[in-house]
Amino acid sequence: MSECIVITSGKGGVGKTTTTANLGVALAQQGHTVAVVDADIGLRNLDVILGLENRIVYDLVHVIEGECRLKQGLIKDKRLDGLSLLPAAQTRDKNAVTPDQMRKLVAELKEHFDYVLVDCPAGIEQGFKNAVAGADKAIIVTTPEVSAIRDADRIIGMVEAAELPEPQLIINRFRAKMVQSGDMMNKEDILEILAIPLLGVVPDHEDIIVSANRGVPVAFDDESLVGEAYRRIGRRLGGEPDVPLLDLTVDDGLWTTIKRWMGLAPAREVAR
Amino acid sequence: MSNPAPARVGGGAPVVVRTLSAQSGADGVIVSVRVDVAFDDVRAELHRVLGQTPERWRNRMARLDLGDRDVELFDVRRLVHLLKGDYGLSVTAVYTTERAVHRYVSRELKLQVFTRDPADDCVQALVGAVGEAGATAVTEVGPHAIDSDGVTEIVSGPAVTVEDTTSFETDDDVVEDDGAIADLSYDDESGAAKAAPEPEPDVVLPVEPMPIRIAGGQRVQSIPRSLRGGQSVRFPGDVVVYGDVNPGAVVEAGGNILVFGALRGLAHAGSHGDEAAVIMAFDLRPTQLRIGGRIAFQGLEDDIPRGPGFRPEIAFVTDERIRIEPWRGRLPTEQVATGDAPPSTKTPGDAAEAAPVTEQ
Repeated sequence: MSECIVITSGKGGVGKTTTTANLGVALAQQGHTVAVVDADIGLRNLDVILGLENRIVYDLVHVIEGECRLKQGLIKDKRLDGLSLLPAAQTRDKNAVTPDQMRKLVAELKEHFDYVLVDCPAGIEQGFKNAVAGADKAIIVTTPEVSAIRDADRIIGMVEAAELPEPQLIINRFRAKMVQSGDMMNKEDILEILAIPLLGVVPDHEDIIVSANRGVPVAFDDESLVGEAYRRIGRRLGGEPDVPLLDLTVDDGLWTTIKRWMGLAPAREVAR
Repeated sequence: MSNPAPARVGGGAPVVVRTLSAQSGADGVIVSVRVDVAFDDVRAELHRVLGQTPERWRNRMARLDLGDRDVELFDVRRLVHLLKGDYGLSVTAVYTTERAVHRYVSRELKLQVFTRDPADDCVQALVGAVGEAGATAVTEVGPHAIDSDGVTEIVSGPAVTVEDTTSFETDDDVVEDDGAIADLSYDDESGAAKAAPEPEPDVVLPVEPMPIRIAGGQRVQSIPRSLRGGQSVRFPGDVVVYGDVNPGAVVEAGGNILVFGALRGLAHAGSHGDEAAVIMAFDLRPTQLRIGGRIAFQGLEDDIPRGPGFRPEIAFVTDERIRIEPWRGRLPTEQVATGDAPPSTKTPGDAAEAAPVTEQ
């Protein structure tokens, strides 16, 4: 039984594409077959994050308009069996596709893959409507910033209006240190407003930037804490809802060291 | 005859300004507002129209015809102030179909209010009324008149069905100012097609301030879920939300607002001008509160972290300000002092009816 999950946020720049790429990798690592679909037509990024940009021949619009077969449009990731990308068109815009066409496309993808992850464009317009069209459920990505949370709230309302089940939340760019000092919203604050189940918390780390530039999603990196966060989210998503919590304070080495050195009780900001 | 104003026949003017003769003893000017035009555009258009002959309006009386539109009290106030402040037009009366606006307009703006039957054009109503006193004359100029001369005080458009205003005589004063208007009056256009209407004085009977309008016999709208950003509720009566009202969400009620949850968004109680309305929430931390015509913002320093002992709070208008108090299991002091039954046994709507005492 396959599933289509749309990754959305409302606000731009919170990490939808990074999350989509890494969840795709994490799910594929577990042995699932995964198609990641870039619905951000005209502003494609997912291919770059995945390092598959140079292999694009056909794209989503070609497939939808029947210029190629679905199989031709999909790019298989050679590093990982089971992971495929359907890139967005760069020369077109959101209006090149209709929700009905997306629905049909997703239905076809679901015949071949266990998971179809749709990377939703920012905004609430046509691109959003296309991206949620075929989805079975939604994941909301937000950062611990008021503006991102406002937009996430609005998007949750729209996801509900689209009659999808209650979405799950990923808090991205979480900085335990700043939360600790009261400079950043903690996850309880966020959950109080958004009031949806938390799927995971991803710490803010330079790894993300490096990996994006190299085109190697951080979930490939066994050493990385961020990668571990994504892998755990992937496991939770892939049928292990009880995957243990990721303790962000432990891995934040310097900070923890200083805390211990100062003799302060390590207030543990635990991320599920 | 000065330079012609640009022709705007096709566009449809948002406002129509008509004059009555000074001899009639009636108010001098009627300003009609098109129903489907945003108030910002209406204001811009008013400036454009009235600004052509600003000296003409000084110290004249005006009536504001709001037509069939859903009136926002802020907009009424702003229009009245615009007419008075910029053109010296004193608005004495308002025509509206919105009965709920009466209380506000009559009390706050001290204006006479006429119920306006949506089917009728206000000019017809007015002429019917003053027609009894005789000596009525209305100048009416259709859309085609606009390009005739910048002097005309009337700018019409498809917004108002001018066919209703038949067989008006041309204002003598106006003719002296500008003879062209006489040629363009609706005497020529439609007078033959439609006989002079009988005066219909019933239409303009003053109406007492009405209680909150009740939609479909329903007094309270209950929302069984949280309102997220971008979602809004608008209801002429009371609104009860079972859930949170998040930032970016809007609850607008003609009556009171009760939130069984956290109110973090915008709540507007008494949106038709009822400043006796109250807003209550288990956790009251709104971005903005509005009661009647008053607005309260959340200051930055007001964002006090909520402790474990937070309690329901109630916002109400007292001393011309919005005040927030902890909910003490009863209405604010002034209202209880009127001897009303304990609010715990009452519906929120009753509270609104009991409350006007505070306004006196």
